[in-house]
Amino acid sequence: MFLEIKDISKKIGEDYVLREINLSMDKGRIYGLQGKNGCGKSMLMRVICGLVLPTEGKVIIDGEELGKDISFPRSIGVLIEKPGFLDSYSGYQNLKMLASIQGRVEEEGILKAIQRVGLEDVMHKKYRKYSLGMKQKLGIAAAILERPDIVILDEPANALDEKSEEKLWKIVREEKERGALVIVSCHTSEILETVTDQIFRMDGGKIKG
Amino acid sequence: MKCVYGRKESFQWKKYIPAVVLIFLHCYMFGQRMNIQMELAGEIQPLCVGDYIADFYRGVFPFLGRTEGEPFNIPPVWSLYLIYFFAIIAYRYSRTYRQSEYQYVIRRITRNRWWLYQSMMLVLESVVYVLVSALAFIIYGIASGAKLTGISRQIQMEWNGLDFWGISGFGLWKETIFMTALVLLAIGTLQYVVSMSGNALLGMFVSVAVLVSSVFWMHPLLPGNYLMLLRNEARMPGGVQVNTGIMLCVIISVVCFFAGRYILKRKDLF
Repeated sequence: MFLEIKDISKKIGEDYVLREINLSMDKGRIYGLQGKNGCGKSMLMRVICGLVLPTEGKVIIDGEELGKDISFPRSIGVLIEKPGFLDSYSGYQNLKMLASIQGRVEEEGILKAIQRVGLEDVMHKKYRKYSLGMKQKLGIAAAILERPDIVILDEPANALDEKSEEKLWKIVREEKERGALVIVSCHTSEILETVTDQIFRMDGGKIKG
Repeated sequence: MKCVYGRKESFQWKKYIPAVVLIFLHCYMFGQRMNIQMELAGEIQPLCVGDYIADFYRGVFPFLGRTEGEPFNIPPVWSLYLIYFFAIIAYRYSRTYRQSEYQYVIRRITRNRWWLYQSMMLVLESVVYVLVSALAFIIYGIASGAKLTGISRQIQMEWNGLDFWGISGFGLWKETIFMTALVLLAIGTLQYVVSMSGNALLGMFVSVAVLVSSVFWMHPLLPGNYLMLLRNEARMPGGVQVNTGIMLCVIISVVCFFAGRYILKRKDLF
């Protein structure tokens, strides 16, 4: 399996926010994380990204252990909770700066990501002037920008209208077809059941069932 | 300036304005005081840029508490100047760990490399703060007609209580400007590391506590002492030595660098 989560637990203070999570995920599939607010979905995603270190257990990505062999996954695109970009730059400039880090994506790729999420009309507008929906779309664009091996989208449909949401799920399917491992979280199961290949339901920091 | 993870950091010159204003204010007050004293004495001597610098770093004698009601004096402009630097460090810390940064961090670098970048920024902050300050002294000196080089040893001795006989211009710069950069780096790094363990406010509290303790006590392990010329052993028996200060600051900076690396490796981000 490409991604293995072995006995992951995370304690904050006296409380366990994640408890003995064991999951295996493979590329070319869409996995859903479903659960009510505060059940640990975002925290698990942060652990997979390497942003949060587990109290116990390990995350192995393509044979490499996070926190030991690598600090962060080698190829990952992420949208966790609220998207965060630089206010004084435009959407296009923000993506360009991100793309310049690894140099895997040229101008064409940046424009394609913007087009896929439907931000071409406002791509030169300053980020601080974006609506919530636009910010969310830019966050999704950043996650898919470099065609990463792992795409993590935490409640990506927030603040999106119906048309934009359809576009979002189309993007998710396209990423799967490209061969990426896609993890999507949502607190309602109806959407996940139509989009994902497998759903993991969480409650109280644990995987149910 | 392009940082290690691809985002250009523009030079924010406006943040140095308060420091420059404080230096100008201090220079103005010193100039006024010297003019009055020289007029009363009937001798007018030109001031040098070094005179302004020397007075800014004059400092105070340690609080001895031997007499009842002895005031605890902390040089106001000098302390505000240093506290403002601590505020800049606190602001830098809060910006480094803001939400938007995670996109940059996960894309390229290891935690170690990210810490190296943050450390480099702390060095840069200290150096630039001091360079801007030096420039402020020079600009004020030029504007007030002061000599750019040298120091008025007689004025300093008679009216400021500072003995500079045998100290060259380079020696003065070493004791003041160069030493300031090192002390700011040491305390700034300590503040940053404390912030990583707690929060920005706690880090700033520690820095201010180190500063106030340094004014209160004369001790070679309190870095603030090296920013007060009165407490140098050349002017005060049993005073602190510049070379000891340089070593102390380097040690604090290096220890904090490794402590910060250790903390960041185990810290939950964002």
